[in-house]
Amino acid sequence: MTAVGAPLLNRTHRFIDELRDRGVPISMVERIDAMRAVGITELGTDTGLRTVLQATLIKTAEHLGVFDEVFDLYFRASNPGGVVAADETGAHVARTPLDLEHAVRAVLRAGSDALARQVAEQAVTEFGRFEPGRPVAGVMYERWTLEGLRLSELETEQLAEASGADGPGEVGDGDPGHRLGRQLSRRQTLDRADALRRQVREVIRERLVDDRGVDAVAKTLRRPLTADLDIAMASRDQLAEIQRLMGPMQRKLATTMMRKRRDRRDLIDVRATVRASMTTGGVPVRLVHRRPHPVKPQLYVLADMSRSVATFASFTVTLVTAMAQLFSRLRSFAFIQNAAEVTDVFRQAEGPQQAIAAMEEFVIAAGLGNYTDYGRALRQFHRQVGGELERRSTVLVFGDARGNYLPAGEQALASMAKRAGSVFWLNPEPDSLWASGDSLMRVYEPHCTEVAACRTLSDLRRFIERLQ
Amino acid sequence: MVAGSVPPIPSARPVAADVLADAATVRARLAEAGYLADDRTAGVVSLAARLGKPILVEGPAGTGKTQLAKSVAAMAARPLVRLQCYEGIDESKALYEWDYRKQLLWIQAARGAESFSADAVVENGTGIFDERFLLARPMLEAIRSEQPAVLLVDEVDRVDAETEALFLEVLAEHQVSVPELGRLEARHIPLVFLTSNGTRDLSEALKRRCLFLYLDYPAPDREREIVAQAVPGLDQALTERLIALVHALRRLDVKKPPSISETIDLAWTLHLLGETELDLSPSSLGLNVLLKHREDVEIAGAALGRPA
Repeated sequence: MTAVGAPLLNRTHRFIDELRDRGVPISMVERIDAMRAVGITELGTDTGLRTVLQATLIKTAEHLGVFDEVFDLYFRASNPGGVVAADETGAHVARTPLDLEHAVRAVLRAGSDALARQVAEQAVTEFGRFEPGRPVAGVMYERWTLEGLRLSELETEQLAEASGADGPGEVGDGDPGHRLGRQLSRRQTLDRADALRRQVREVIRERLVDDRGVDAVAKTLRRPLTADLDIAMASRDQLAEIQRLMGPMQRKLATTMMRKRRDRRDLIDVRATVRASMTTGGVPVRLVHRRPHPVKPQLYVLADMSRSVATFASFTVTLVTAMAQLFSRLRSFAFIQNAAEVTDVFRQAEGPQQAIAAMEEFVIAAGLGNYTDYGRALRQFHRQVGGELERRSTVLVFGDARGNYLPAGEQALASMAKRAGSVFWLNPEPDSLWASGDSLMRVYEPHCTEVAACRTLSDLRRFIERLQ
Repeated sequence: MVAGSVPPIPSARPVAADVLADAATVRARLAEAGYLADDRTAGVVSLAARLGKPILVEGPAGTGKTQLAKSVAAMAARPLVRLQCYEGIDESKALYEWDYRKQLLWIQAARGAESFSADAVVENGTGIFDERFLLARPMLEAIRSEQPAVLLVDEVDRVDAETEALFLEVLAEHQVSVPELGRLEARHIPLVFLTSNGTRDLSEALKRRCLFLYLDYPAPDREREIVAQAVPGLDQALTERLIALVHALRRLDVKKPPSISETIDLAWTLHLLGETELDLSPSSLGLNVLLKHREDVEIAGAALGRPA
């Protein structure tokens, strides 16, 4: 067993605290496992410690990004080895400063990690305008450094070089092998530029940590996990990340909604039982049951597509696209002022992106209107599907229940709730806002089996968990 | 918890066989067995062996999750016990089952004997609830094996949540409780691999008991080695191009990104055809070997074929 110094253990504890503060669930058992694992591992290498902590603390791919970021702060930025290395390089740089422009070109062309690191360090020193003691996340330092390096310009230049000595005229009918080669080298250039950007960010983080200490920097850099992001406020990139994480959840939501409580075993299959009894001299020792018949699920979705919930709407579309592909008996409706069936829009879309685009077109083409009218939409929805609802149907409504002070028309919802097995309502607003302004949520709530605030992916996950 | 207090390792923990004792050895031995692992993978395998904890391996399809378990078994010369999960699997398929046929036979044979008492059989199952009549299914088999075994629980995300709970006893306590017999404890602690494609969130309880290993598509360097090992004769420049192409495809939004085995398939194809240049025209094989959906081939053709 390797002797482990108290400083390392102490640091590991603070590292775990920081992960927990960011929302990564780490139980006491896992903390103990991590400590025990640190105790029995040869920690000569950076990879060793990283592997051990990652394997014991992180249990889903979703949190690997956060882990790496925090790990780099706590163990990379200021570990003794790292500091020594930085000093050596620093001394080296002081003796022979690189011609940065030349070096960046070399990095983009050949991509040596060591050179990229050296470039990043020198560039941060030269262009970063680093001000000690300021509680910042270093975004501006990063921007100044990259501007100083003229990285974007050099990147573009390199790309232009890569994509063609031969003129644009020939490109269309050029040899496909060459075209592919050019495409691939373009991509490599882009990757190398990104790697250099990452190096710059890393160097800045390291200097911030040296300046203010790791805990303070970690706090400045803290941001919510993707699962805790407010969906309605998410940027494009964040939304893409959210969509990626939704995969497993969609399946779970769909199967939970569809599941009909019934015994695991079905009626006895007499024929098969008699046959089976032949092996035991005619005594029916083993009863053979009929295979449980999967119940044909019926799901009805009503989704608010108005501008006020634009981001939430694309989230809804993503969710419903996946469910539409899993379940044949799913009818979906979109509404703003009017409600219209969009089952085919979903069925024809090949992925969430396409579905979102198709839905945007549809909303305009079908004349759904501009001002959300929940009462009217519910009445129309009821008129179209009310007749088919039965105990095994589930109604799922996505919307903020902001009715623009128009009549609520909760009778339609009430009558659907009577016929359907269950009615679920997912609202992008937190429940503290449900009673305020023109929100009708409190009016609709009594008619729903369950109403859930669904601001973040974690909310959705909790909702699904509660259903089980 | 106070810093500096590492909980002692219980003495009941297994002493890992030498081959699993440290990451470097694991890595070298896996390479000999034909599996090129990175440092992280080797590290987690060795840590799992030393802690006696199962490994939950997650990642996209075709990144060698199942193969990892097989190769570890091969390299450590341990028997591999495999449990393929599917929806509806239950304890009689995963843990154990009573062999009622043999029980009946035994009753019939014993009926004439003096000592046989039908009442005793009915009341407390004298004679029939015996380990002789217990059919060990993979999980029980793995912990009762005479030699330390490697247990592969494949595609654990396919089982229902209720069945998942049944696995916990084996994974954490290394025992199986049979109501009629009591606890059957492990002779050796098996090295357990659970693989998951991430189609379902596994329960917290299960995750807490496992070490986690995320197997992503390999980095270009490692994939190059893998291809070189699988198709030794392939031209180096061509390999380079192939790897770059595969990595570019994985970043596109395709239904099924090419896996390692598809990279190797294309490498073989190129090698057998004696190609020296990658050709992506519709008539050539390239994209059709790597991608399995018509739409994907179109997307990729559009993204790579026309210079931006």
